[in-house]
Amino acid sequence: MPFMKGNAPVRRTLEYLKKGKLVFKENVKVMTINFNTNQPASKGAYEFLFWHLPQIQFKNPNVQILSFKNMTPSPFIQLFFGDGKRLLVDVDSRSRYDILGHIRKIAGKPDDVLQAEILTQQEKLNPANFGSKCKRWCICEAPGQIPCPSYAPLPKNMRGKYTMKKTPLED
Amino acid sequence: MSFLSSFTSQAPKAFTGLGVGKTCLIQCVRWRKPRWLPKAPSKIFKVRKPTPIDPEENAMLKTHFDHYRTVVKAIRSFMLTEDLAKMKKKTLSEEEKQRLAQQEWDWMVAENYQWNKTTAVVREARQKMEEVQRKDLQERIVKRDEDERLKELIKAEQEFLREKEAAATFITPENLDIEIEKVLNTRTDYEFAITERGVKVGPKVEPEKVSQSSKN
Repeated sequence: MPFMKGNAPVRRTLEYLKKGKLVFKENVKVMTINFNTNQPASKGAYEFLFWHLPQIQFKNPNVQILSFKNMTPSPFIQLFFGDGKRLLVDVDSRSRYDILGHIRKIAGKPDDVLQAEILTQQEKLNPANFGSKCKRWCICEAPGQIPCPSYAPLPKNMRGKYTMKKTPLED
Repeated sequence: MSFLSSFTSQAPKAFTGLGVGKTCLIQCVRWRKPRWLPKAPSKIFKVRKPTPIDPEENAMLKTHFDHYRTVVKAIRSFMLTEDLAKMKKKTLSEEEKQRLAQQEWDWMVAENYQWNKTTAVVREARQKMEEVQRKDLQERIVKRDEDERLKELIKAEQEFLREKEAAATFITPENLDIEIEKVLNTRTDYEFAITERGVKVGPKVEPEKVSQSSKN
């Protein structure tokens, strides 16, 4: 879809997608949303779908999200967990903020865990870091860099042994 | 000069009187001579003159140091608890993990139950109202249909009466011959034109009627 076309194209901006707060716990696998059109009680569920679905899907690429339209008398959300358990959330006449808050509370990762995960990921991702849990142990592992002198001797022009070598005087 | 960084219970002289506990210190050690060499003969009887302590300054330092020590102690204990918790989490047994997962699930279910209970109050009120509205609408529809049926009935009855009255002039097998005779004996002349106003104009139409109707 072109960038600035359709309803509320802001939903497709990277900045908006990244601002999503709901990151599901590991065992959440599927989320289904049932809502009705032209039903005031379904307004919150629809808006939740409209505004937060892109963010949730962006933050949880491995969670399947399904929506069912006009197939229920009252709107609800169902969460399916990896071990076969499921949780039904009644969202009748609730606002989208309420719904998001509740889902985050029961099935989302808490803020401190998220923060810790972000930190570890940043540590891992930062190419300036060396050592365990990092991308590399030494700069010599990067292609194009000089290998460590323990593996291969440095070029002669970098070694004092040769650069500072004085040519013997001839008699 | 080299430096030796070590954890030691020994504190600088100025703080010994203040009861400073185990802290990290940096001691200066001059590796001037090997450790097994004795004191120089000329310094054997040398007793170092203690550093003079200014009571006022000492009191101030004590306050500062107490404060510093409290803060450091708090940070250390906080980090220790956090680290311990992390370690504990990492080294959980399978049973413990299952127990914790079950605990979390129970909490989720309880939390969700509360939410659904609150929502159900609103939903049930709404559904009740909608049911009332639906029944009301149904009743009105039934009433309207009934009214319409009655109207149709009255209309049909009137039609029936009208037709009954008209039946007197109907052509029946009994008076069929008479009616045919009547029609055959009647001559109609269609040699005329009709004006825009609907007036018949023609050679066989009576002129008075033309003038009379054209005046209108």
